[in-house]
Amino acid sequence: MNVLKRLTKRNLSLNKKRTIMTGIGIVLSTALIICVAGMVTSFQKTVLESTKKTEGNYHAQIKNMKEEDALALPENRNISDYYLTREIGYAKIPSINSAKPYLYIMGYDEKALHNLGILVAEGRYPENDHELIVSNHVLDNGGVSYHLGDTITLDIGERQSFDGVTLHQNNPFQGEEEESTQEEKIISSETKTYTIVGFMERLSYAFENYSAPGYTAITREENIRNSVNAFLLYKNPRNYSQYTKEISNNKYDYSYNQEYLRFLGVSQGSTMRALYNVAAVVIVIIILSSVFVIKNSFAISITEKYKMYGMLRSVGATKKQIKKNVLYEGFLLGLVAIPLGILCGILAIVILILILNLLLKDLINNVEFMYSVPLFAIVLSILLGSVTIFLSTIFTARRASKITAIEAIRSNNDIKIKGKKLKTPKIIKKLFSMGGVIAYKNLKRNKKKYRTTVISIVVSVFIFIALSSFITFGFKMTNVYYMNLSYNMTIGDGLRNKNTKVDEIIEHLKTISQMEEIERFSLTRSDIINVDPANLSDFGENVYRHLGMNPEKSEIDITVIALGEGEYERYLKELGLNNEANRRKGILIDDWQEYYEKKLYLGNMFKIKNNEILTGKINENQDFQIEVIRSDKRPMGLENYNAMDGILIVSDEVMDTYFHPINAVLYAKAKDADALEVKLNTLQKENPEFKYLYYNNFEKMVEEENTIVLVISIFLYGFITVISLIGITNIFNTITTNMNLRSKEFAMLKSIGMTKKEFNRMIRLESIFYGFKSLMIGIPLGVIGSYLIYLSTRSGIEMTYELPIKAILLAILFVSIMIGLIMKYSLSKMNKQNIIETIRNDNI
Amino acid sequence: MEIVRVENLCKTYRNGENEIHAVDHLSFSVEKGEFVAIVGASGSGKSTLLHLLGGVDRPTSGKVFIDNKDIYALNDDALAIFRRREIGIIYQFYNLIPILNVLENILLPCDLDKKSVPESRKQEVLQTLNLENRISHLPNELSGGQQQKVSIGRAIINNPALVLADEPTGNLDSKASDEIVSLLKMSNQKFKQTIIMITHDLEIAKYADRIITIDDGKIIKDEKNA
Repeated sequence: MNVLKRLTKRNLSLNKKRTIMTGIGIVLSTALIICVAGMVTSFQKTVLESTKKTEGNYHAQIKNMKEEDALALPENRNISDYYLTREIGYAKIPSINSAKPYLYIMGYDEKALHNLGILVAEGRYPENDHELIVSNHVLDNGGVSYHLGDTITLDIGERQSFDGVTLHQNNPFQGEEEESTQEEKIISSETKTYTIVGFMERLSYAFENYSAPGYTAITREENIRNSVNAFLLYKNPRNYSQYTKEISNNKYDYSYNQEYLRFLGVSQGSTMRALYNVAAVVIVIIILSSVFVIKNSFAISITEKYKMYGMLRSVGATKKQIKKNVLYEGFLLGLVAIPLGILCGILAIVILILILNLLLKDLINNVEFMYSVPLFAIVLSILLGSVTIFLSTIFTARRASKITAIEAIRSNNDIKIKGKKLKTPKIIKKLFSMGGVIAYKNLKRNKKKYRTTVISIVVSVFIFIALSSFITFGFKMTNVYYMNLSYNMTIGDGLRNKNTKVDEIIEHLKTISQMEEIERFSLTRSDIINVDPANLSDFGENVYRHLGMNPEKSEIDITVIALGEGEYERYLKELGLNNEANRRKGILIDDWQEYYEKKLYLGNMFKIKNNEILTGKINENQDFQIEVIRSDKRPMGLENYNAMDGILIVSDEVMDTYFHPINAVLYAKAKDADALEVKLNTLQKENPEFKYLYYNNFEKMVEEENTIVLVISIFLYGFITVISLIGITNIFNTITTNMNLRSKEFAMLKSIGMTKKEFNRMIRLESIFYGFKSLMIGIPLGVIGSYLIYLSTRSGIEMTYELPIKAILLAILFVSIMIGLIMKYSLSKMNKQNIIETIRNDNI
Repeated sequence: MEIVRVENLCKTYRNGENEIHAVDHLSFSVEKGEFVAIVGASGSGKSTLLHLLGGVDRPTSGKVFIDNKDIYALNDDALAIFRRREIGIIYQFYNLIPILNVLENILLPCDLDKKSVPESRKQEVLQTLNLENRISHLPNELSGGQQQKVSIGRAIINNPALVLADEPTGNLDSKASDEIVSLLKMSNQKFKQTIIMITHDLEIAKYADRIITIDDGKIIKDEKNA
């Protein structure tokens, strides 16, 4: 073996501590790269699999195709797979839900049965066209008692409106009102007999929307020919919209599996794209910071071996040989550390996902986190890891190759500074005495070494600040999507019949609000105040203009809402307005945001100020005045209430005295939302008065949202931990080796009579000097980084930028403590050294 | 046969306003197989001259021919290769690589050149230097004299055209010094090795065939040793 290679190996094994540290740096950065890439792909796979399960495994759907076009599908080169279904028809069943009186029978081919989001709850899939799998919604919502094995006979036909239009699943049932003359009917029906072989979960919104009039039931049919719905999977989903348009050829309706495409990252403005951007930014940060860590270790090793390289040069090693030598060192390290890093990274992903599955097992149904570390991620991390090492070594290699024999022989090191520059301000001597002067001179003189340490800290501070604001934004992102609601049920009463009085509805809701399951509620009753458009702020006028309306001629109606006495009291307390006088005032919430020409505008719709009088008209044409208190805090139930013209919260008394409510909704927080749902269901069935009751259970939704927040925080905190680890390795590496390199010089200072106390003080001052300088550079850089992250995450969701003050303060604290600890460690090691031995010791 | 020719060699250092002529228009030549000592006081420019002869520094002006090759016409890498083949340098402070053992240090120039050394040559050098029993020792396990022997071995291993020794005894006691200079003398006689040695010690210089005295960068005396 070549002597230089042998030298490198021996150096690596002799400087074990640094080799290990550098190795750890490479392992961590490779592991992180693969972790980030693997997390993204795992997350994507997980959501894709779960959307496949619930939404169906297809990209696009072409509706009602003719036989000849459907038969052409297998020939289409862009399609990798397809499934066919057809509508067989509607059959009337004895449903108690008057808006959903039908069974909607579909024929699916075998592939369609398994790929379009059918989750079998009980029983099995149908195997021929005499068997049915029925949505179990028909049991608990429709109240029809079907059992497995039942044979049912159905009159199946087409829905037609009173004026002869054919109706489909997306047309709600027409003619619910009793004396309606415009009721739809079933025509050209045919009698068929089926055996129920299974029950399935209610299909997703895309297949059976909330106002669909029929409960879905599916039978199996092969060779579907007429009015075919084709579900397509493309070979290259990126061009999904072009392909779909080609196939539909303007003849057929089509729709997309939006959720699936969104998570595939191919539809516009998709979540995955935002995630990819974030991952790319994060990987760039990892690479940059790793380059610094690893580069530092190499730079230090070069300084240590300075004399050796000079000597090699003097006996005739060429520049190329020296350069190769340094690169070889990097290569050797990479050879061991990169595979190790990949293993660690994969292991980390697997462990993380196992933990996630363990944590979330009870929380989410049907979703199991999967790990997916595609080959491309491994190749990518090998590539990026190598690039990292190459970048880290190449500069150092160049520097090492530039060492000339004569410099090394004269051993005038890399101290290249003139006496003039070493002049120390007198104030330093006064403040810190001689120790301070030497500390200061050290920093000045040894600029290069000092710079590496400073850069390490700067990079760590930068990463810390940038990433913690990334976490903040991440949480904001989830908060925008998954806001925490204070209620878990909304209950309303259908206003379908004009004879229904609002008062009656309010009475119903009041009765319900007294149920023992409900812990807290707000029974909102609302009316409107019509105000003069002159009240609009400039922002408000713009909002109208952007909608193409003339603000001066528009009807401006503020929604007036009473919350019910208990919740109103609580709301006032929360705002700190809890006194008698305020109960006659109205609390105006008129913040609004609009997205216009790719820009987000936030503002208040009205120009009225706090404690001013709002004038308007109520009850058609009656004058009304009320003093206004502005707020942006929303009461229970109205967290997501959108009213462009703002809402005005008033007391029950004001509502009762001046207004006639036109709508009422009960927002309830139930101890057990599911139990409440059952109770309401019984109430509805047993008491015809409550027939039109409707309600939404948010418990499950909120649960899912909370889980998602938890999952995201696990991922992000895991990441920040590893990144901080890299930073610490980095700083530890530089500071300790710097101290080692200077041990000779320190020994000399001690030998000429510097006391231990003075010495420690000198070192401490030095740390303070560069800690300060690093923070001065690192913090502004971190802020810039956090702003960049804000820009890249913003492409998914709109939010405003905030300075990461908490992170900055933490960084300052963190840096001080860390430098202190590392210094203390090196000092304790140094103070143990024997002065003479250190001075004599030429061979580090 | 002429092995070294120096023509009008100058090396000037600038220190602010002052120019220091470490080597000032020097010209001389050395025959093959000669053992030359260059003597002079500290700061007389003798070390600078040696570095210029060894091709580790570059002159301000003038030329150095070794084996009829203008070494400063070569680029850095070519010069490095020339150096490892044709010049052996012995330093006052040995400059051995601490993590390589005796044999590896001696073979270093050949290894850099990816040239293998015949076993007979290896043994010959080791025997001459009396280091046969120490081949796997590391430098810090050797005395100063022994370390210097290793660096002599490194300098002569591939029969260079010229061996340069910079105060080879400067760091040694008189007994070890005698031994080292005797070794140099012996390799001069046994291998017909051309040697240029710098020293400020006139006793040591007496071993040489020719003594050149330098002061202020100029030759003030050049005489054959009797």
